[in-house]
Amino acid sequence: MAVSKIKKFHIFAHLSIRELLLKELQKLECVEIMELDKKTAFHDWKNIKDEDKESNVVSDLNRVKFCIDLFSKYQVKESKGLQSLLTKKEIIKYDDLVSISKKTDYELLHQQCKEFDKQLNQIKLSENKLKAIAEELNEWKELEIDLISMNESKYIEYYIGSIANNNLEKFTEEVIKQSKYSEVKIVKEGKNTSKIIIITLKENRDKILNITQKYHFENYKYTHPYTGTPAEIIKKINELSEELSEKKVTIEKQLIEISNNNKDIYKIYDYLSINKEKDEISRYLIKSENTFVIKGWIQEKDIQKLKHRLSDRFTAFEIIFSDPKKKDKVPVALENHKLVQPFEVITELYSLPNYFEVDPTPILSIYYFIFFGFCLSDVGYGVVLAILSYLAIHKLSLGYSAKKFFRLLYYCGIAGAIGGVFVGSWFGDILNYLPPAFSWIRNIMVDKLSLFNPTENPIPLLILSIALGVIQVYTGIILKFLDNVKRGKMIDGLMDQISWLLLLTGIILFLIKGMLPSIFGTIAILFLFIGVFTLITTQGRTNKNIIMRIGSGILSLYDITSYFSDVLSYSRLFALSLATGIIATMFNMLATMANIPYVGIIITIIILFIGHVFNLLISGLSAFIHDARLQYVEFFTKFYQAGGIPFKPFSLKTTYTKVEEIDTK
Amino acid sequence: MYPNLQHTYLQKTFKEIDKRGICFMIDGIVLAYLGAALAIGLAGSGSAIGVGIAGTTGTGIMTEDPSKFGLVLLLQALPGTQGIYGLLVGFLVLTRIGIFGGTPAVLTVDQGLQILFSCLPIAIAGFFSGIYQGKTSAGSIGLISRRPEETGKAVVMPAMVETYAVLALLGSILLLNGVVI
Repeated sequence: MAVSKIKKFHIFAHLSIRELLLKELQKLECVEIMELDKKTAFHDWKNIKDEDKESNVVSDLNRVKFCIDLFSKYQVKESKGLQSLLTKKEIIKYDDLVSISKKTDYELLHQQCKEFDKQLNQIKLSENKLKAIAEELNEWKELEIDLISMNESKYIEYYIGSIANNNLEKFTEEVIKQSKYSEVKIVKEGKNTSKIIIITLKENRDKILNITQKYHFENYKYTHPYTGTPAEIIKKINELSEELSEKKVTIEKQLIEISNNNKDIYKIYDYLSINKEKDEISRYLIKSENTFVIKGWIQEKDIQKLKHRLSDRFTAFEIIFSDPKKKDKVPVALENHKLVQPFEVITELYSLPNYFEVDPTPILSIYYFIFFGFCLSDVGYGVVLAILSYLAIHKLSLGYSAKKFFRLLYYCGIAGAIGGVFVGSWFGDILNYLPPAFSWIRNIMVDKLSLFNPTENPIPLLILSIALGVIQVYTGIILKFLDNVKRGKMIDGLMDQISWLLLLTGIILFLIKGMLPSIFGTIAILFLFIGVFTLITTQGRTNKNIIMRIGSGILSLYDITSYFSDVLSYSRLFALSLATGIIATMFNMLATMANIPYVGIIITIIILFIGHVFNLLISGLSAFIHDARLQYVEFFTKFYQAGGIPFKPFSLKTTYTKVEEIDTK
Repeated sequence: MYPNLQHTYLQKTFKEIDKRGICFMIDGIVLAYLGAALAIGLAGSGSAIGVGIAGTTGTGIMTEDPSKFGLVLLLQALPGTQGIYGLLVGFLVLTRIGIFGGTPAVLTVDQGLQILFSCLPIAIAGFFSGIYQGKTSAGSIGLISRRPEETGKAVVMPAMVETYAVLALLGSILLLNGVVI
């Protein structure tokens, strides 16, 4: 019930069964394969390299991914967001997965998809082009001249363009004065600039150009192939775009049809990812002429399973197990009772224990549960949280770690509800608003069941929270002592931990001696002296110089302040508990203020709903984080070393389906 | 109505002069109001600044990886608690002086000042811790963008700052609890 026992293994086998053996190991999902350092043990062995094969799988995978991405873009959005959480993953047998992948020609599918994608891109491109032309011509809608044929005239020349309004009059005058048979017409008058057309003889070109330059006339040149007046061209363009979008729709329909006919593509993707994983692992193996070696880690409980499976299928192999050495970086897997398991989430968030220390999760789980209940401390919120997490666990399709997290929340909800009973908080003070006929419910729930009334008299609850802090800090120190004893450092443990325990106990007894029989006062003084004496004499023991020794011993007494602040830090439990209740009460009061006839009841319900959801989120989040912080900062720092690497078994990693492994004997 | 009100107010002022020899132009309840206003306003401002700082970093991160929305939102929400603590203390003050009951308590200036000072811890600590928690949250958002596996640590860092807002809340509640009305 703690850090799972792990063994090192070597498998030596004939090269001919390499693929099959790896596949078997992958299906077993219980070994982690690590890189073999070929220099240490096996001089003339080589790494296995099949780069060609690997790149094949990767490119296949990319192709399939391309198809899936394309499908997902155009598919009816039936499996998005919450919906996809609600639909459980399809469970498929490994052998079926292989046969499906073998018989489906995803190469062909990829070609089709690529073609469709190309066409769709082209359509998009031309659509954009047409749109740009239409926008450009939109400004010349009023011009009733064919834009192409207007420049084909023998003697007459047209200039179209825009000019600033304040130049327009002078410009027109000058054009008419300087060039014969010219005319300037306004096509469209704008706010600052106007669109105009100049009609003139070809021989006047130079003069006109001079004038246009002088007055900053911006010539508009039509460069597109469509003929007709601007209005006609725009109409034509609209028709063309419609055609294009129709074409697009038919292609999309075809795509949807193809995607519906090729649902297996997701299975192929999973199959290929499994293969990719396997090929990546192959690089860790080394081989001689005829044999190869796999080195890895396995949990002790799985050894029999591995042995049986391998000896059932293969003969040309040898497997050796050995204990991990101190210098090995052993991966860590936690193994706890079902009730404690969800709390591994909290430990993992901090860091896994290293392989050679004790898993703190079982002890942590008790404290985490109590503290969360203390912080949330509302029956209503607790029950809602528990129900929601229960539904999430059973109705949603979640991965292993997400499920674990929701189970943690489920326990947290129960803790919150229990805490709520103690402080008499049911959605704050909502029971006070019950009609008089039901006030007996309130009397039982709040007056009889609750032990504390923090809004009236906060001190007992505050003392309780600090007392819990003292207990947890003591637990931390004792755990460190036990750890020292286990390592055979009994003396260190006595000097470092037990002397502190004596001193702290002395201080606490001294502080509360008024409430205890007088004998405890003497005991307190005794403990204080023993504690201080041992700390001063032992804490500087690494120093050789006797004066330095005592000096650093005295200095170490300064650590009292850190213990003091650690314990005071637990007062947050009380503050958060109070906060939940008061915010809830506040919303209840706000809701009852809506005393409008008929509509009032609806507004009341809306305020209650929004307010309590908000409070549940905020208080739940605070409870979660501050509870975790107490574990990490106040508890773990006393004894926990951490730094473990997680055990990641070589397994069938899939995205769209769940592969079920069946024993075919 | 108006002259009548002025009359009672003057009477009260004269009584005050009789009692103390000086004239306070303020009423105890005004000071209590000031306390509640400071608690709600300052702590809320601190939270707003903090959430804002975290939010700008968060949006920057999300331009690169929009899938981080959930985590970023969580970290952005962390500096928001100070505002709630402030509101909570303000609410406690208002209930203490009976605003919600319809008949406000008559407070002496002493009582008013006591309530005002009770509000100061959460007002001051809420304001500053909100800002600094926002900065820490912004840092944490940067952390999860580069190392998503360190989410646990990223969430605990801002909570270290919040400790002092919680302690200030505790102080305010205890002080307020000690005021005799």
